[in-house]
Amino acid sequence: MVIETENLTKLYENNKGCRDININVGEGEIYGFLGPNGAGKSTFIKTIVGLLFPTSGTARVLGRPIGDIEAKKKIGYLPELFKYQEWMTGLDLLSFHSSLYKLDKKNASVKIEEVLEIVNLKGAERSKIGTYSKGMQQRIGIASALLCEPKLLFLDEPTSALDPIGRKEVRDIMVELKRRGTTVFLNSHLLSEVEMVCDSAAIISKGTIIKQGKMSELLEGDTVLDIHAENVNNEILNNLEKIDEDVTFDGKTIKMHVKENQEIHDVASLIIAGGGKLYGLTPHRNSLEELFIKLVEKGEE
Amino acid sequence: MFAIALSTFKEIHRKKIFHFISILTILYLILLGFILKKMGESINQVDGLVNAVLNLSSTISMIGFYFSSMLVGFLTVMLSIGIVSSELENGTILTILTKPIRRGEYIMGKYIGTALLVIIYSAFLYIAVIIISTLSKISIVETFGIAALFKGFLFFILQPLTLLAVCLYGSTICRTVINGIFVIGLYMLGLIGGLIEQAGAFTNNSTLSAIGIISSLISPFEVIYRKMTFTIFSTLGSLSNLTSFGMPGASTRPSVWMMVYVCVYLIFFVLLSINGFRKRDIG
Repeated sequence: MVIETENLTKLYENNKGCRDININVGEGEIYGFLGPNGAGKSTFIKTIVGLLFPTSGTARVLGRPIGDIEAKKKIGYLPELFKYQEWMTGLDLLSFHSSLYKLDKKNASVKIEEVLEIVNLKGAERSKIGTYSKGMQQRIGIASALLCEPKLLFLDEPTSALDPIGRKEVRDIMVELKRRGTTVFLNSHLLSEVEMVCDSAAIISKGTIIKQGKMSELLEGDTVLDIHAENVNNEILNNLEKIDEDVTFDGKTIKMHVKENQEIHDVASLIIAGGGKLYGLTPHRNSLEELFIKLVEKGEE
Repeated sequence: MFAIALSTFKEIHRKKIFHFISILTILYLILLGFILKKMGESINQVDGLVNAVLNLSSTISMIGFYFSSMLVGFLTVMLSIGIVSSELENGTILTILTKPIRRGEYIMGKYIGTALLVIIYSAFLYIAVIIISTLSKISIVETFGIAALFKGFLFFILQPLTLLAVCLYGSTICRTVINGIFVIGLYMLGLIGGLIEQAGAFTNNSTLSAIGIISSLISPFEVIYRKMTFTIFSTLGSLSNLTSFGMPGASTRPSVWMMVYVCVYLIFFVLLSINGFRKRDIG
């Protein structure tokens, strides 16, 4: 495992933060970490990369304890709220970060060329960072995190300040890194993005993980049925509640969740048996957004 | 560590405040040159040699080294009050401390990078004051021993380096503005403490002297300056007690042990910065 945590907890004085986080991130996967603002996502990342000291629990990153210098040689990190030295040019910044990674001069210049190519900033490297757009600043940030050819890359809300094209570029970078075998830990509240690129994900609310697993598992088992029916009476609705207690009916459409395909057949049978007229039944998989909202709301209750 | 030191050095010398102080320094040196030239001319017209020596030594001490020392102190404070806190405030540090460097290396790099620039600036100012004094044909300058000048320079840079250590520590525990207020307050305490100590010696008042000494232990910056002037003007023999600002004839010569204390004070604050920062949550 690239990241293993056991009851990792970091609480601030106001008792906020993250608690009892248990996750395992496998090599070469893109792992999404989802949660509403203030849920504790960034606290978790900062603890894992050694900026914050855990209150309790343990974690191993690349097989070593948190903050280990050897492990840091192969870790890239792009923070959420950061500012690079505006007086530096892109090239200055990358040279500086190469020296922090202790790359020798020759190796550094090769790597700098390579990462500039990856983030599509060739030609802008001699301009001052202060003149860069938000998207460019984000990309130079990713470039500096890639200098060490990371085995593990932490990206904290990497696309939140970007336009759709910029977001796609960052997604493409993540997919390319995955292809090269890099493990990417992605903090994001952009659910569609996580859904598109992540292999696994965890959903965090109020500092605690409320659901985690492979992406396919997370979305599986929660098929949503949109049912167009008439003459729907209370008896039908009561029977449907036995399958999904959150069933809703707005007078025209019944909306409910089923866990197995067999239940789709059961639902249709119940409506017809109860005297309802069934005109349409559309099963579709729950989107991550729906799952996220449902879980977070449940967590808040 | 050297990457941090180099980056700090480059960053500081690009700062606007550094350019502002550079301009201020040039104006100051022009003014000093003008004053010393006029003093030199008037000395030649004075018959009493002793009076001339008195005036000159006092002038060199007060105008030249005293204000140069203050200028270096001012530069040091301005450049270093946000040495760590500004990077904490804008988040730059997040990308640095997640690289394979120890937090102690980061702190030492910050200190060394700033210290290097302060030493270069101090050397420039120190040499400029001596050259201006020499060009002004002030005869007493010729009596300065090279060894005394060199030792004096060591004390001249010891003051900003000590101030830098305090700024560094303050910067690791509080915000830039608060650190600035704290350090300037501490520096002022040293100046006032020095005056109180001199006043105590002048009036033979042991209470005042004790207050002055305690202030100097808390804020030893003025003592370092006094030690520097005593070192440079050691060749003046009995006139060497003119070397302090404020009350000629009443100054006390700081002991070697006081200088040992200052070195311990400096190292203590650097170590305190490293130790405190190592345990601090970032972000």
